[in-house]
Parts: sequence; structure tokens; C-alpha cells
Amino acid sequence: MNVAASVAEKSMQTVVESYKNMGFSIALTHTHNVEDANDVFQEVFLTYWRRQPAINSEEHRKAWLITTALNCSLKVTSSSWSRKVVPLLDAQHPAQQECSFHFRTDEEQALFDALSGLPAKYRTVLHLFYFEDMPVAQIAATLQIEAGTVKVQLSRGRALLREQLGTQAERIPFDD
Amino acid sequence: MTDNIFKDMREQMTPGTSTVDELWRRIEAEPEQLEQLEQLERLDQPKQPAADAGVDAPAAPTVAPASTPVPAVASASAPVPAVAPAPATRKRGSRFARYIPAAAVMLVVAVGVTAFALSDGLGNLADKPGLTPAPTVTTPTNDSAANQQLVMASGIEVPASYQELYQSILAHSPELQYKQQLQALAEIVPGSASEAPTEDISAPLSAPDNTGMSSSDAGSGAQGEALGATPDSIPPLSAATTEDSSAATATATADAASGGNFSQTNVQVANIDEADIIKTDGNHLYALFGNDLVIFAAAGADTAEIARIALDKTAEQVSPGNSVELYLNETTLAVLYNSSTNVALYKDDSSGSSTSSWPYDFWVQNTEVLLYDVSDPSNPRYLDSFGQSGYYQSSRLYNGVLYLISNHYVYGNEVDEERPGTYVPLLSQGGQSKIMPVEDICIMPNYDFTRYVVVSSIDLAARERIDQQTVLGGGDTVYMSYGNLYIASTEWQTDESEPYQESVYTVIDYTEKSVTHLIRIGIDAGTLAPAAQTRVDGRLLNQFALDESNGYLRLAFTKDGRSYRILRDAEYGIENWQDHSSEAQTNGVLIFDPNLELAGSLTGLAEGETIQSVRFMGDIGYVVTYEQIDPLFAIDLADPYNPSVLSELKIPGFSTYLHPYGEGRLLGLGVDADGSTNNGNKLSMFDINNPTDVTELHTLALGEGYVGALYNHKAILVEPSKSLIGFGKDSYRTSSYQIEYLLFGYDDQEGFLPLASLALGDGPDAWYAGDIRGLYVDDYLYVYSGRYLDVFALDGYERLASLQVSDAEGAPYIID
Repeated sequence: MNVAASVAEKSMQTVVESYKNMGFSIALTHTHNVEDANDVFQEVFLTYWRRQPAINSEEHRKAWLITTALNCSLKVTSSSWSRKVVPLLDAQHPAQQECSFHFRTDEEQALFDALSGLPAKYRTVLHLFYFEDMPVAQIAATLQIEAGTVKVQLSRGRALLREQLGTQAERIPFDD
Repeated sequence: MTDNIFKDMREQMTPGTSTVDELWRRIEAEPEQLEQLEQLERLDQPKQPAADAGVDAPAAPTVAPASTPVPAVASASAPVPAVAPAPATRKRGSRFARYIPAAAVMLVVAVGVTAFALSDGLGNLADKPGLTPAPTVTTPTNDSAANQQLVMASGIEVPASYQELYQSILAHSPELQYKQQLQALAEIVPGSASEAPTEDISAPLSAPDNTGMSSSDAGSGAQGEALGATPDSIPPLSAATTEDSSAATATATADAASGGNFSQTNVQVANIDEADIIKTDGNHLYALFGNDLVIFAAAGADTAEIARIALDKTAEQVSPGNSVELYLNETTLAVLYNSSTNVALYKDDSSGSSTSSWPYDFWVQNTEVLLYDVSDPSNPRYLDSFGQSGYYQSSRLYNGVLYLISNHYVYGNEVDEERPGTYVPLLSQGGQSKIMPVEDICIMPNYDFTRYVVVSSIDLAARERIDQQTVLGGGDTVYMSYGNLYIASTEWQTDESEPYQESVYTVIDYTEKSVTHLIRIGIDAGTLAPAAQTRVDGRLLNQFALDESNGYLRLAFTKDGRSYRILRDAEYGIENWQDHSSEAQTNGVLIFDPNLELAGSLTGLAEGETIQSVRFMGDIGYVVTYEQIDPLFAIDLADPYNPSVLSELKIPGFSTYLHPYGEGRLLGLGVDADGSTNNGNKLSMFDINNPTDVTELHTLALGEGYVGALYNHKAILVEPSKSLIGFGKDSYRTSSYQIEYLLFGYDDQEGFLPLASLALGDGPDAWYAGDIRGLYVDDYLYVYSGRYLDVFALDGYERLASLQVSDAEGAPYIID
């Protein structure tokens, strides 16, 4: 393969290797099931390959991938869910119905299900903060919202999770 | 920060190998790339110098010969300009240097050298490992020479033609350069180049004919003469600035709403309206519930919905999207709307392979203003719509002119040099679109993304666009005074040094920090004229961090940063990280003259803390920081060349929002904190009659709960003339959520008087509430809470009506 092509493919390989877990995990927490998450995961990197966004730093690349993953997830879920909000305590909650991703422990599963049931904005900041270890300022920059808003959404999201998990919440290192 | 459960879960959330394999199959099957790769293989071209430069670019930020290491490393080196990008850093240097006018570079170097010599040096971090902020507030300095290092000004570029603009974008986009190289090689073989797209890039996939994105990138593409906004010919500030927008803020709350006894959106500058999800004219309420525009007759107990429009389904509407907020201007209602259109790009592959014509679709983000005539509110009539590329950022309404601001991204692979419509924002009206004229484009120096901020000024009554302007460089924070629009964009800048040897290691030093670019666009009855720009090390809290008074811009910032080194031992494949230290955060206020040259500055405020709220009020600016001492600073700004701290009130907790409250009083809403423990929210009233001795007169702890008004100034109702303060709150209790609207009075003797905690909606699903707003009209209080409209009597606080307006949970969260 010629040099130009192999370099492009190689850099794409690096990008996929570095970010595939991030892309997939965001897709999973925002679509709740593996099939959709796989679709979103592929769509994100294909879009990156096709659109060749003008990226000048790793921070930017990461932010671009996160934003695209969130948008793709939104598109997938808005077509497969109804928009109507279902109260969290309802046993027929779509998140619980569709989730086919299984975690090793019950505790992890419960946390994932609870997270999946939150309104999107809380789910997003909680995911980026706890699963991607991103500091508040970086989350704010990526999502184009103010740091104060991120903090409030984290705080509110944690509260909602605690509410949902009951006593199980005590063992989770929320660290606030 | 996290260990165990989150990490474990994260480790499990990985894509399966079959998914990854399928991804690669699809990547490799992309015809365009594949076709061009095949061409190159057939040609068996030797490595060409042009190709090399292009080829290397996308692989990693590895290009650019650079000279000296970042100052942070060299402890005793010759002074290096602290902020000038050209010589000091490897990433920015060669590519960007030629865009800075030489004179400006010389100036910066001279200033930088002086500044570096005078100051402590931006960071001899080798001498200060593991910085911990000192618990006492350090002495602020207003040494302008030293503080100059924070600021770098140079010229705005105006391209003379679309071609020149294209070259600038090309230079900023390694991916685009690479693509160009491939195309150049492919063209050598006749008949082998990919066909240009057969369909216009802006044609929608399934075309409702009024989507506002139809063809025309010829449009008004006349290669107009350059605006010529060089630093020497900056348009004078418009006369409007004789009305001082800063002083107007201070007195704004003393005036009751003009022409009627009803509340209006809480805005930063008096008479410059800001959009919100609900507005009233004293007789009706106009609100957005998700994508439904709902109009109510405001009639106390008899309040009723009189009209409703599903904005994303209305026939004359643009593509599906999300309504964001609205304005009411006399009898015109303007709804701000984000729409995304699916666009297909068709390529014709002449090689006859089975993947011959493949659609590649993507979505294009557009910001729309939808105009409705509400002279008969029960019968709103669609009038027209204006659109522009990008997602909605902000807006203002002043004297009947709507200023609309959006951010538009350009993607390298969609850019076609021959068609400016692929790399220049588009404007539309009523379904007809045109390309932004060249003379309305300007380029910020050192812009990092290929992102434009797009501004339109629209006369709502005449329903025409007065002017337009776009700036290549983006913008996140918007502040408008009577004569100027200031747009700031903050990015996290990462710089790396050239590798150097240290014993067996190859070391690279990294420094990262926030950098804010700011542009001033003069406005005059809707005409837009970019006038000046600057760049500051640091970030801004929000729109309240900017304020103009007598032509001078005051800016409050937090300067942050960190640096670290990575040491690599190639032989053993070891990589060590070292010295991941944060530079002590510091805060300050900068004052710029009308040319955005630094006039005065005050830095070194509250080292180690972060600004939490700012309110500029004429000659005094109030700044609150947090996180150890939490002082409220009163800063004297009367002499723009010599700001100074008048007082510093150390109190526990901090305000996130400051609001002038009548004569000599400042209201603070914020967090009740004890060191870094958050105990909930609180209200504070400060006596600011004597800025050299500010005191906290009264305070009321509000307990825990989510109060949106802490971070969104539109969510609070403050009416000193009625002694009324109101905001929504939702709190979590053991078994159910509660949302309520809290009302307080204030009296200098008694302090804050809790008047009522009004329960909203119907209880159990209350936690779905999004934003909460309270408005009063005559003797009634109307509370909007995302799904409900509740009506209360202001006398006695009895709930008179509760309308469930919507099932959905407000507008979905828009990220892009």
C-alpha cells in the first residue's frame, strides 16, 4: 500500500484504538442496548473518517468524538423510543426492557440501569465525569455549556441516582 | 477521583471484536478513499515533497520546525515572549506566524521581553514544584507592564476573496491539506479523478422546498473589496456609547416595567432584551413547552391556553429541530430554533464497481428565527423566517433589531475549493439562501478550530436582515452594550516543547491553559463593523464578566494552567509523567481602551481560587471568588488606567449571581459553603453604600436543593420596588421530589422574609421539571415549570389554577 494511504490508515487506526472504548461506552449509556451502541460506535468513527474534521489537538479530537457520539445516540434513540417520558419507577421502563448489556455484578447492573433512566443531560455529565474521568471544565468546554451548569447537573444527577438506588447508593464513591 | 465500580464498569464497556472488524471493513470500503488509493498505487509515484508535507500532517501534531523550548522549562534562558506564539511553541509557530502582521510581532516581542524581565516569569516551574495555593489572599498588582503578558493584540484579517479565505482554512486544516494532496496526485492521471458531487452540497436529502438551504453558492459572491479593518483604521465607537450601559444596569431594577405592571426577563443591560422561554406583554403569556409554542390569556384564575403551534411540525416550518427561546417585540413573536437538515452528497464513481453511486449523508446545523404575527394572540400567523449556518449561540434584541449569533463548523472533507458555499456560512430568508459576502467575513489571528461565529442583525418590524458578519474563530460568550457586540471564545491551549535529552530520557514539556479570544463588533442601528480584537490568557465566567463603560471594556478573568513533562526511554519503552502541577490559579480584572489595547489591569486576586460571580456597576466592579476564603472584592474602576481593590469581604460561602438591589444594596444568590463543604443555597444582601467597607447585612440559608437561578440569571425574579425576590427550586426528599417556587421579601431591619413556598404541578412527576420561571402580571404570579403553568394570587399566595400544558420533558438537550 502506498505511503499516503498507509499513513492515513495508520492515523485512523490510532484514533480508533485510542477512542473506541470511549465511543462505545458513551453510546451504550445513551442507547441502553448493545445493538444500538454498536451502530452508534461504527457511525461515529465512519463519520470521522468521512468528514475529516479539522482537528488541531487531542483535546479537540476527543471533544469532537464525544459530541458526535452523543448526537448519534440521540438520533438513534429518538427513532426507537417514544418521546414520552415514563416515570422512573415504572417497571416497563424502556431502559430496563431493552438493555441487553450485562455487567458482572448486580451492583454494577443496578447503577447502569439507574443511570440509563435519567434524563439525557444528567446522564451525559455523569458519564463523562465518572466514566471518562473528565474534569468539570473540560466537560463544560466539550458540551458548550457553563461550568456552573455542569456542577449543578452533576449534583442533581447524583441525587437522582441516589434516590433510585436507595441503600445501594451508599457503596458508590460519588465523591461529592 | 474514582476507583472500583466506575472503573470496573468502564472496563467492561468495550466494543466487541466483530463490531470493530465491521467498522474497519466499512472504512476500507469507502469508495472515495479507496479509489484514490488505488490510483496512487497504479501510478506508483515516487515520494513527492508536496505529498510528504501533506501526508505527515494528519498523523499527529508532529510538524513544524520550532526553535526554543517553552519558557516554563528554561529557568535561566534568555527571555522569551511569554505569549507570542511564533517563536516559542512548536505547534503554533510556523503555521501561524505568517498571519500575524510583522509589526505586531515586534511589539509583542518587545513587550514580552520587558514583561518577562520585570515579572516573576510566567512559570519557572522547575523552582515551584507541587504548587499549593496559600490560604491568604495575595497582594493584587496593577502593574500594567507585568500584566501585559496576559494580553496579546494584533490585527483582524479580512480576506480579499473567497480564495484567500480558502487558503487560510487550508493552512489551518491538516486534513484538508492531505485531501488536497490526494486530489492533486489523482489529477495527474486523466479521467481518474473523482467526479465533483453531482448534487449541490446544500440541497436537502428530502426536499421540502422551504428549508432555506437551497443552492446558490454563487449568490452574492462578488469578490468585494476588503473591509480594510486594519488596526489603524478602526471605526470610531458609535455615539450610542454615550449612554453608559454599565450605569444603566445599576438603575435598571429601580424602574418598574415600562407601561404596565408586569415583570420582564431579567437582563444584564437595561433595554437590551435577552431571549427566554417565556415572555409576557401584560395580557398574554407566550411560552415554549418543548417544541410547542403556547399562548395563554393571563387572567388569574381564568387563565387559559388560547393558541398552540407545534413548531417542528408546522407545514411552513424548516426541518425538524428544537426551539430554544423567544422574543416578543410589539406584535411580532420571534422564536429561535435549531434545526438540522440531512444533506446528501452523491458521488458518481465511473469505475463501474458495485458501489457505484453511494450517498454519503451528514447533517447540517442551521439556526432559524421564526416570526409570527401575534396582533391577535389567539390566532398567531406565521410571517417569515431567517436562517444562518450553525447552532444557536445567543441573541439580543435592542430597538427592534434582533442580533442573532450562531457558531458554524467547517469539515475538511466537505470543503470544495471551487465552491465557497462549502466553507463559508450561508444565510437564508424564507427558504432562499445565499452565501455570506466576502466583505462580511473576517479572520481572527491564531484561531484554532475551523469554526465561524455568525452574526445577523434583523429588523423585526420590517422583516429584513440589515447586516451580517462572520468571524472565523468562533465565539462562546456574548456581551452587548448599546454600541458594541463583544464575542469571546475560550479554548484550552496545549503547547509542547521540542524534545530534549535528559540522561537516558527524551523529554517533552507540555503546558496547557485557557486562552480567550475577544472581538469587538461595532453596532449602529443594526449595522455590524468588526473593530478590534485581543487575546487574553484565562477564561471568562459568563456574560457578566464583560462590561463596557465610557468606551472602556472591563473584563474579569480566571487564569489557569498546568504543566507536566513526559519522559520517554525508547530503549525500554518506558514513559513517565512528571510534575503534573497546576499553576496557581489567579484572577483579575483587565480594562481595555476602545481599540482593545490594555489600559489598566489588576491581577493576583485571590490566588488559587476561581471567580464565581461578577457584577460591574459603573465605577465599581464586584467579584466573588471561591474556594478557600471566598472573598467579595469591590474594585475601583473609575480610572481605567488604575484599577484598585477597595475592599475585600471574607465570608463563608459564595454568590454565583449578584444583582443590584435598590440604593446601596447588592443581592447575592449562591452557595452556603464551609470551606469546601456545600451546605445548600443561600441569599445574601450586601451593603455597598461605602465600597471601601462592604458588609453582609443579612443572609438566609435555604438548605439543599437545585436552584436554577444560581447559574442562570434569567431564572430569577427581582423587583425591589415590590420587595419581591423569586426563583424555582426542586429538592429531593426521601420518597418524592418536590418542585416549588420560592418567594421572599426583603427589609433592611428584618432581612429576608420567606413569603411562600409554592408547590408546582402535581407532585410525583415533578422532578421532570426543567427550567422554572416566575412572572407577575398585576396581582397574579404565573409560574412556568417545563410541563405546567401555575397561577397564584400575589395577595395570600393561594393557587388559583394549574394547567398541565405538556407531556414531554421540555426541549431535548442539544449538544452540537
